[in-house]
Amino acid sequence: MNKKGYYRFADIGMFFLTFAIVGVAIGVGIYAFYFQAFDTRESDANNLLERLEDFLIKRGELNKNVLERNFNIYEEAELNKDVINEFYYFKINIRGLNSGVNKFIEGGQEGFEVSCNLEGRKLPKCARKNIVLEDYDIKILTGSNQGRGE
Amino acid sequence: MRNKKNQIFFNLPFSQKMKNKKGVNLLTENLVYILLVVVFVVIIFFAVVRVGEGAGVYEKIYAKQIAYTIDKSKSGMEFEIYLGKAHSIAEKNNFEGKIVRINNDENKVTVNLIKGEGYSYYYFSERDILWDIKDKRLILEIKKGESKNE
Repeated sequence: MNKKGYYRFADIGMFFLTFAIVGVAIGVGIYAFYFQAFDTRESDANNLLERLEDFLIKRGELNKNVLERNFNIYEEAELNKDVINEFYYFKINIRGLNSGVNKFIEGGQEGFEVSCNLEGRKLPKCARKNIVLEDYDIKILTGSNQGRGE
Repeated sequence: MRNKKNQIFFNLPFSQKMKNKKGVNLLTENLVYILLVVVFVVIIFFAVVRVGEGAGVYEKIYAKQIAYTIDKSKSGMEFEIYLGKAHSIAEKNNFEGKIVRINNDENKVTVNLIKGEGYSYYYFSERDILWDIKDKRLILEIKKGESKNE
Protein backbone atom coordinates (compact mmCIF):
# COMPACT_ATOMS: atom_id res chain seq x y z
CA MET A 1 0.00 0.00 0.00
CA ASN A 2 1.36 3.46 -0.86
CA LYS A 3 0.89 6.67 1.16
CA LYS A 4 -2.41 7.48 -0.52
CA GLY A 5 -3.84 4.16 0.43
CA TYR A 6 -3.88 2.60 -3.04
CA TYR A 7 -2.99 -1.05 -3.38
CA ARG A 8 -0.50 -1.62 -6.11
CA PHE A 9 -2.37 -4.34 -7.93
CA ALA A 10 0.08 -4.22 -10.79
CA ASP A 11 2.41 -6.16 -8.52
CA ILE A 12 2.55 -9.14 -10.85
CA GLY A 13 3.12 -11.91 -8.31
CA MET A 14 0.26 -10.89 -6.08
CA PHE A 15 -2.00 -10.43 -9.07
CA PHE A 16 -1.46 -13.91 -10.43
CA LEU A 17 -1.71 -15.48 -7.00
CA THR A 18 -5.11 -13.84 -6.47
CA PHE A 19 -6.41 -14.98 -9.82
CA ALA A 20 -4.95 -18.45 -9.45
CA ILE A 21 -6.99 -18.84 -6.25
CA VAL A 22 -10.13 -17.53 -7.97
CA GLY A 23 -9.46 -19.77 -11.01
CA VAL A 24 -9.04 -22.88 -8.88
CA ALA A 25 -12.25 -22.07 -6.97
CA ILE A 26 -14.17 -21.71 -10.25
CA GLY A 27 -12.62 -24.94 -11.58
CA VAL A 28 -13.70 -26.85 -8.47
CA GLY A 29 -17.18 -25.35 -8.82
CA ILE A 30 -17.47 -26.45 -12.45
CA TYR A 31 -16.26 -29.97 -11.62
CA ALA A 32 -18.73 -30.25 -8.73
CA PHE A 33 -21.57 -29.00 -10.96
CA TYR A 34 -20.91 -31.51 -13.74
CA PHE A 35 -20.32 -34.31 -11.22
CA GLN A 36 -23.80 -33.74 -9.82
CA ALA A 37 -25.38 -33.26 -13.24
CA PHE A 38 -24.22 -36.59 -14.65
CA ASP A 39 -24.64 -38.77 -11.62
CA THR A 40 -27.32 -41.20 -12.78
CA ARG A 41 -26.75 -43.88 -10.14
CA GLU A 42 -29.90 -43.04 -8.22
CA SER A 43 -32.08 -43.20 -11.33
CA ASP A 44 -30.34 -46.46 -12.32
CA ALA A 45 -31.19 -47.93 -8.91
CA ASN A 46 -34.80 -46.74 -9.27
CA ASN A 47 -34.92 -48.19 -12.77
CA LEU A 48 -33.82 -51.61 -11.50
CA LEU A 49 -36.31 -51.39 -8.64
CA GLU A 50 -39.14 -50.67 -11.08
CA ARG A 51 -38.07 -53.63 -13.23
CA LEU A 52 -38.17 -55.96 -10.21
CA GLU A 53 -41.49 -54.54 -9.06
CA ASP A 54 -42.99 -54.98 -12.54
CA PHE A 55 -42.13 -58.63 -12.59
CA LEU A 56 -43.00 -59.32 -8.92
CA ILE A 57 -46.46 -57.84 -9.17
CA LYS A 58 -48.64 -58.96 -12.04
CA ARG A 59 -52.15 -57.50 -12.32
CA GLY A 60 -52.13 -56.39 -8.73
CA GLU A 61 -51.12 -59.79 -7.37
CA LEU A 62 -47.83 -61.30 -6.33
CA ASN A 63 -46.26 -63.39 -9.08
CA LYS A 64 -46.37 -66.76 -7.29
CA ASN A 65 -43.54 -68.16 -9.47
CA VAL A 66 -41.18 -66.17 -7.31
CA LEU A 67 -41.94 -68.42 -4.34
CA GLU A 68 -40.84 -71.55 -6.16
CA ARG A 69 -37.54 -73.12 -5.21
CA ASN A 70 -35.84 -73.30 -8.64
CA PHE A 71 -36.87 -69.80 -9.59
CA ASN A 72 -34.32 -67.84 -11.67
CA ILE A 73 -34.79 -64.10 -11.27
CA TYR A 74 -32.35 -63.21 -14.05
CA GLU A 75 -34.40 -65.16 -16.60
CA GLU A 76 -37.77 -64.00 -15.34
CA ALA A 77 -36.95 -60.30 -14.98
CA GLU A 78 -34.75 -60.23 -18.12
CA LEU A 79 -31.62 -59.13 -16.29
CA ASN A 80 -28.05 -59.58 -17.42
CA LYS A 81 -26.15 -61.34 -14.65
CA ASP A 82 -22.70 -60.03 -15.66
CA VAL A 83 -23.75 -56.38 -15.62
CA ILE A 84 -25.71 -56.82 -12.38
CA ASN A 85 -22.74 -58.53 -10.71
CA GLU A 86 -20.38 -55.76 -11.76
CA PHE A 87 -22.35 -52.60 -11.08
CA TYR A 88 -25.61 -53.34 -9.25
CA TYR A 89 -27.15 -54.95 -6.22
CA PHE A 90 -30.67 -56.07 -5.42
CA LYS A 91 -32.36 -57.74 -2.50
CA ILE A 92 -35.96 -58.91 -2.33
CA ASN A 93 -37.53 -60.15 0.86
CA ILE A 94 -41.05 -61.57 0.71
CA ARG A 95 -42.61 -62.41 4.04
CA GLY A 96 -46.06 -63.88 4.59
CA LEU A 97 -48.07 -61.85 7.10
CA ASN A 98 -50.26 -64.79 8.14
CA SER A 99 -48.16 -67.64 6.81
CA GLY A 100 -44.68 -69.00 7.19
CA VAL A 101 -43.53 -67.77 3.78
CA ASN A 102 -40.11 -66.16 3.95
CA LYS A 103 -38.42 -65.85 0.55
CA PHE A 104 -35.13 -64.07 0.18
CA ILE A 105 -33.53 -63.26 -3.20
CA GLU A 106 -30.28 -61.39 -3.60
CA GLY A 107 -27.91 -60.60 -6.48
CA GLY A 108 -25.01 -58.40 -7.53
CA GLN A 109 -22.45 -56.71 -5.32
CA GLU A 110 -23.38 -57.75 -1.81
CA GLY A 111 -21.25 -55.04 -0.21
CA PHE A 112 -23.68 -52.42 -1.49
CA GLU A 113 -26.19 -53.32 1.22
CA VAL A 114 -23.89 -51.78 3.82
CA SER A 115 -22.62 -48.96 1.56
CA CYS A 116 -26.21 -47.89 0.86
CA ASN A 117 -26.48 -46.63 4.43
CA LEU A 118 -23.31 -44.58 4.19
CA GLU A 119 -22.65 -41.12 2.76
CA GLY A 120 -19.87 -40.77 0.21
CA ARG A 121 -19.35 -39.52 -3.31
CA LYS A 122 -17.90 -42.78 -4.59
CA LEU A 123 -20.33 -45.02 -2.72
CA PRO A 124 -23.36 -46.58 -4.46
CA LYS A 125 -26.75 -44.90 -4.58
CA CYS A 126 -29.75 -46.96 -3.60
CA ALA A 127 -33.51 -47.17 -3.84
CA ARG A 128 -35.92 -48.93 -1.46
CA LYS A 129 -39.55 -49.84 -1.54
CA ASN A 130 -41.85 -51.60 0.86
CA ILE A 131 -45.08 -53.05 -0.52
CA VAL A 132 -47.84 -54.80 1.39
CA LEU A 133 -49.85 -56.85 -1.07
CA GLU A 134 -52.47 -59.53 -0.39
CA ASP A 135 -50.94 -61.47 2.47
CA TYR A 136 -47.35 -60.56 1.79
CA ASP A 137 -44.92 -57.92 2.94
CA ILE A 138 -42.43 -57.27 0.10
CA LYS A 139 -39.24 -55.32 0.69
CA ILE A 140 -37.05 -54.37 -2.29
CA LEU A 141 -33.63 -52.75 -2.10
CA THR A 142 -31.56 -51.91 -5.17
CA GLY A 143 -28.24 -50.12 -5.58
CA SER A 144 -26.06 -48.91 -8.43
CA ASN A 145 -22.49 -47.72 -8.65
CA GLN A 146 -22.00 -47.69 -12.39
CA GLY A 147 -19.63 -44.92 -13.51
CA ARG A 148 -19.25 -43.93 -9.84
CA GLY A 149 -21.24 -40.84 -10.68
CA GLU A 150 -18.91 -39.63 -13.42
CA MET B 1 -15.24 27.11 -2.50
CA ARG B 2 -11.99 25.60 -3.69
CA ASN B 3 -8.89 26.27 -1.63
CA LYS B 4 -5.53 27.30 -3.12
CA LYS B 5 -4.17 23.77 -3.26
CA ASN B 6 -7.23 22.54 -5.16
CA GLN B 7 -7.02 25.47 -7.59
CA ILE B 8 -3.46 24.49 -8.48
CA PHE B 9 -4.59 20.88 -8.97
CA PHE B 10 -7.43 21.82 -11.32
CA ASN B 11 -5.10 23.98 -13.40
CA LEU B 12 -2.77 21.03 -14.03
CA PRO B 13 -2.97 19.12 -17.34
CA PHE B 14 -4.83 15.77 -17.21
CA SER B 15 -1.76 13.54 -17.22
CA GLN B 16 -0.27 15.49 -14.29
CA LYS B 17 -3.46 15.12 -12.24
CA MET B 18 -3.23 11.32 -12.47
CA LYS B 19 0.17 11.15 -10.85
CA ASN B 20 0.54 10.82 -7.10
CA LYS B 21 3.45 12.15 -5.05
CA LYS B 22 5.63 9.14 -5.82
CA GLY B 23 5.11 9.57 -9.52
CA VAL B 24 3.17 6.36 -9.97
CA ASN B 25 0.72 6.76 -12.75
CA LEU B 26 -2.53 5.64 -11.14
CA LEU B 27 -4.45 5.68 -14.37
CA THR B 28 -2.04 3.30 -16.08
CA GLU B 29 -1.90 1.06 -13.03
CA ASN B 30 -5.67 0.79 -12.80
CA LEU B 31 -6.05 0.35 -16.55
CA VAL B 32 -3.57 -2.52 -16.51
CA TYR B 33 -5.44 -4.06 -13.59
CA ILE B 34 -8.85 -3.70 -15.26
CA LEU B 35 -7.45 -5.08 -18.52
CA LEU B 36 -6.01 -8.13 -16.76
CA VAL B 37 -9.31 -8.70 -14.94
CA VAL B 38 -11.20 -8.54 -18.24
CA VAL B 39 -8.74 -10.97 -19.85
CA PHE B 40 -9.08 -13.34 -16.88
CA VAL B 41 -12.89 -13.20 -16.95
CA VAL B 42 -12.93 -13.84 -20.72
CA ILE B 43 -10.57 -16.84 -20.31
CA ILE B 44 -12.74 -18.29 -17.51
CA PHE B 45 -15.90 -17.70 -19.58
CA PHE B 46 -14.54 -19.56 -22.60
CA ALA B 47 -13.14 -22.33 -20.40
CA VAL B 48 -16.59 -22.89 -18.83
CA VAL B 49 -18.30 -22.83 -22.24
CA ARG B 50 -15.71 -25.28 -23.61
CA VAL B 51 -16.19 -27.68 -20.70
CA GLY B 52 -19.98 -27.44 -21.04
CA GLU B 53 -19.94 -28.10 -24.77
CA GLY B 54 -17.03 -30.52 -24.70
CA ALA B 55 -17.16 -33.84 -26.49
CA GLY B 56 -16.50 -35.72 -23.24
CA VAL B 57 -19.58 -34.28 -21.59
CA TYR B 58 -21.84 -35.15 -24.53
CA GLU B 59 -20.38 -38.64 -24.83
CA LYS B 60 -21.48 -39.26 -21.23
CA ILE B 61 -24.90 -37.69 -21.73
CA TYR B 62 -25.73 -39.72 -24.86
CA ALA B 63 -24.31 -43.03 -23.56
CA LYS B 64 -26.28 -42.78 -20.32
CA GLN B 65 -29.44 -41.60 -22.07
CA ILE B 66 -29.38 -44.52 -24.54
CA ALA B 67 -28.64 -47.11 -21.83
CA TYR B 68 -31.40 -45.64 -19.66
CA THR B 69 -33.87 -45.78 -22.57
CA ILE B 70 -33.03 -49.45 -23.18
CA ASP B 71 -33.46 -50.32 -19.50
CA LYS B 72 -36.79 -48.48 -19.32
CA SER B 73 -38.15 -50.18 -22.42
CA LYS B 74 -40.10 -53.37 -22.89
CA SER B 75 -39.62 -55.98 -25.59
CA GLY B 76 -41.23 -54.98 -28.87
CA MET B 77 -40.79 -51.24 -28.39
CA GLU B 78 -39.11 -48.96 -30.93
CA PHE B 79 -37.38 -45.65 -30.24
CA GLU B 80 -35.79 -42.81 -32.14
CA ILE B 81 -33.22 -40.61 -30.44
CA TYR B 82 -32.17 -37.40 -32.17
CA LEU B 83 -28.38 -37.09 -32.33
CA GLY B 84 -28.10 -33.66 -33.99
CA LYS B 85 -25.91 -32.12 -31.30
CA ALA B 86 -23.70 -35.23 -31.19
CA HIS B 87 -23.22 -35.09 -34.97
CA SER B 88 -22.27 -31.40 -34.92
CA ILE B 89 -19.72 -32.01 -32.11
CA ALA B 90 -18.25 -34.98 -33.99
CA GLU B 91 -17.99 -32.87 -37.16
CA LYS B 92 -16.31 -30.06 -35.22
CA ASN B 93 -13.78 -32.59 -33.92
CA ASN B 94 -13.27 -34.14 -37.40
CA PHE B 95 -14.52 -37.52 -36.17
CA GLU B 96 -15.90 -39.57 -39.04
CA GLY B 97 -16.50 -42.97 -37.40
CA LYS B 98 -19.70 -44.35 -35.88
CA ILE B 99 -20.76 -42.05 -33.08
CA VAL B 100 -22.91 -44.69 -31.35
CA ARG B 101 -22.21 -48.41 -31.05
CA ILE B 102 -24.30 -50.94 -29.14
CA ASN B 103 -22.69 -54.24 -28.22
CA ASN B 104 -25.37 -56.84 -27.48
CA ASP B 105 -22.86 -59.38 -26.19
CA GLU B 106 -21.52 -57.07 -23.51
CA ASN B 107 -24.72 -55.01 -23.00
CA LYS B 108 -22.67 -51.93 -23.69
CA VAL B 109 -23.46 -48.57 -25.30
CA THR B 110 -20.39 -46.66 -26.53
CA VAL B 111 -20.51 -43.08 -27.75
CA ASN B 112 -17.55 -41.56 -29.64
CA LEU B 113 -17.51 -37.89 -30.56
CA ILE B 114 -13.73 -37.54 -30.81
CA LYS B 115 -10.93 -39.93 -31.65
CA GLY B 116 -10.34 -42.29 -28.74
CA GLU B 117 -12.13 -44.96 -26.78
CA GLY B 118 -15.26 -42.88 -26.20
CA TYR B 119 -17.52 -43.33 -23.21
CA SER B 120 -19.26 -46.63 -22.46
CA TYR B 121 -22.24 -47.35 -20.25
CA TYR B 122 -23.84 -50.73 -19.58
CA TYR B 123 -27.54 -51.57 -19.61
CA PHE B 124 -28.72 -54.30 -17.27
CA SER B 125 -31.57 -55.60 -19.43
CA GLU B 126 -31.15 -58.92 -21.19
CA ARG B 127 -32.36 -57.72 -24.57
CA ASP B 128 -31.29 -57.83 -28.17
CA ILE B 129 -31.08 -54.33 -29.54
CA LEU B 130 -31.39 -53.79 -33.27
CA TRP B 131 -30.01 -50.37 -34.00
CA ASP B 132 -29.20 -48.08 -36.88
CA ILE B 133 -28.39 -44.41 -37.43
CA LYS B 134 -30.40 -42.65 -40.14
CA ASP B 135 -30.67 -38.91 -40.77
CA LYS B 136 -28.95 -38.06 -37.47
CA ARG B 137 -31.42 -40.28 -35.60
CA LEU B 138 -30.60 -43.42 -33.65
CA ILE B 139 -33.29 -46.01 -34.25
CA LEU B 140 -33.61 -48.66 -31.55
CA GLU B 141 -35.70 -51.78 -31.81
CA ILE B 142 -35.97 -53.74 -28.58
CA LYS B 143 -36.24 -57.53 -28.88
CA LYS B 144 -36.50 -60.12 -26.15
CA GLY B 145 -32.93 -61.34 -25.81
CA GLU B 146 -31.57 -64.84 -25.63
CA SER B 147 -30.32 -65.26 -22.12
CA LYS B 148 -26.55 -65.18 -21.72
CA ASN B 149 -26.91 -66.05 -18.04
CA GLU B 150 -25.58 -69.41 -16.93
